[in-house]
Amino acid sequence: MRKIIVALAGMLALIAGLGGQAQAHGPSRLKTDQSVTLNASAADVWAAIGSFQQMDWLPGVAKIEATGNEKGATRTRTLADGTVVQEELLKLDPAKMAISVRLTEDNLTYVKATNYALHLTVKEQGGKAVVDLKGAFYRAYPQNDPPADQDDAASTASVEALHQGLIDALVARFGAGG
Amino acid sequence: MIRLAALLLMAGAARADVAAITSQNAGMLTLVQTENLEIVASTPLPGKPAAVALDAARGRVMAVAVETARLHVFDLAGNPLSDWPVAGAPFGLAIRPDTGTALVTDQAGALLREIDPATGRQLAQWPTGALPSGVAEGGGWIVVANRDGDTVTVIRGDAAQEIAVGHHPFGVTLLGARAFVTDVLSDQVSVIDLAGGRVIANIPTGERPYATAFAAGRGFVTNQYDASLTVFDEESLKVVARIETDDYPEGIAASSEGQILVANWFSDTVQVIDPVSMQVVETLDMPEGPRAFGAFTGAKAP
Repeated sequence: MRKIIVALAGMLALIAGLGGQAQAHGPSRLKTDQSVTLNASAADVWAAIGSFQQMDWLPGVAKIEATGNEKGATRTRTLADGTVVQEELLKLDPAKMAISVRLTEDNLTYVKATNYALHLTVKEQGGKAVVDLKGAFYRAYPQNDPPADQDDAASTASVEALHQGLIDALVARFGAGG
Repeated sequence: MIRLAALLLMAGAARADVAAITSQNAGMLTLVQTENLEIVASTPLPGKPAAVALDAARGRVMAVAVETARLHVFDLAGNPLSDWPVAGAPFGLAIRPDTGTALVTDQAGALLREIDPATGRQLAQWPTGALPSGVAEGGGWIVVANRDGDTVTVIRGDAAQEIAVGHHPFGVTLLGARAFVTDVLSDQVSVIDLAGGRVIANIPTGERPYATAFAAGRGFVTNQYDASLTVFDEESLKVVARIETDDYPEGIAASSEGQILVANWFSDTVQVIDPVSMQVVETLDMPEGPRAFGAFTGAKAP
């Protein structure tokens, strides 16, 4: 399968090469969009996840050192496996139940992406909380001709896997809402 | 001459604007009639297009596909007319109203290129600062925002001047003899007096300002990370309001009917804003990843 993909990529490169100016520009920004319905009210879910200073709902976070809970605050988050993530709070809007966080330093161990930002929103739908997880980022490899494990598809898959981990943690805590 | 003016006036009354929206992730060009907000065409535009400009007088839309490094030319019904390879890494785009030629920034070569959209031939080039991004033309001025140079290049005739601005200037819009440049990493707009060749004011914005448009005596700046517009008075240059938008607002332009249109990259929408009441009056769904970087509106001949 891998061989076929490599062969296909080679063919595509060849076809694009005939155009003369293939991949003249760097990467374009990518996005992901995932959501989950939970067996809890939106208010209860927001009470758990609507903070920059604590993430008790998420397993595997060993330590959080945050400068505050206001837009512009930064935090150093140390994971159980030793990975250290540097983040900034872009938005915290309790009225809209929306929180946005970006990595201030790319960390390919944490997620294979650069300039990564996560936008979490909670909405009430039929008495259940719907959590929407949106990622905005560039691929891990910032130059042209990325290796296969750092191209657009690999970086998108990495962000989706990270967000699936967040979804799994929410389902473990609140239960799936159907 | 008087008869021509009268004809033009009559034509003006019957005119409706077209807004041309590039969707970068979907690889689509969407044309919206601004009068009734109907989508009149949806055309494939591959190669991750971002910059777009509309030439009302000649009935053309042009867009730059960054991945394939091509300049695409369409009519106002969305029919592709031609597309041309452009040297280097083309990104930003403006159309010279007097000639209908395309001004394209080359991020690899640190150049501005002038391209004939009928033949794809390069007519002229000017050196710029590092990573030239947005470009605007008006009143005999050409202004280029040099993202990695933290400068703008101001070109008038044979003369060119580089002026220091804030950090990562990206979008540039002209109003009279002033240029308004969004300094993405400084969270401000630099206001440049073009005749004097200097920055005369900095307007504070929300986080990650992207582009500016003018209507009803006010300037409207998209703030990508803040999901908002900063509104300032075009005379006093004072901030007067903040308008919330959908996520990652980017390209912004005014229609001749006096609306402000904003392309929201993350939310896949275009929002229409009344510049007087400063309210969002309509939200349209777009193909994935609308960016519409440039002067993307213009009147369609009847």
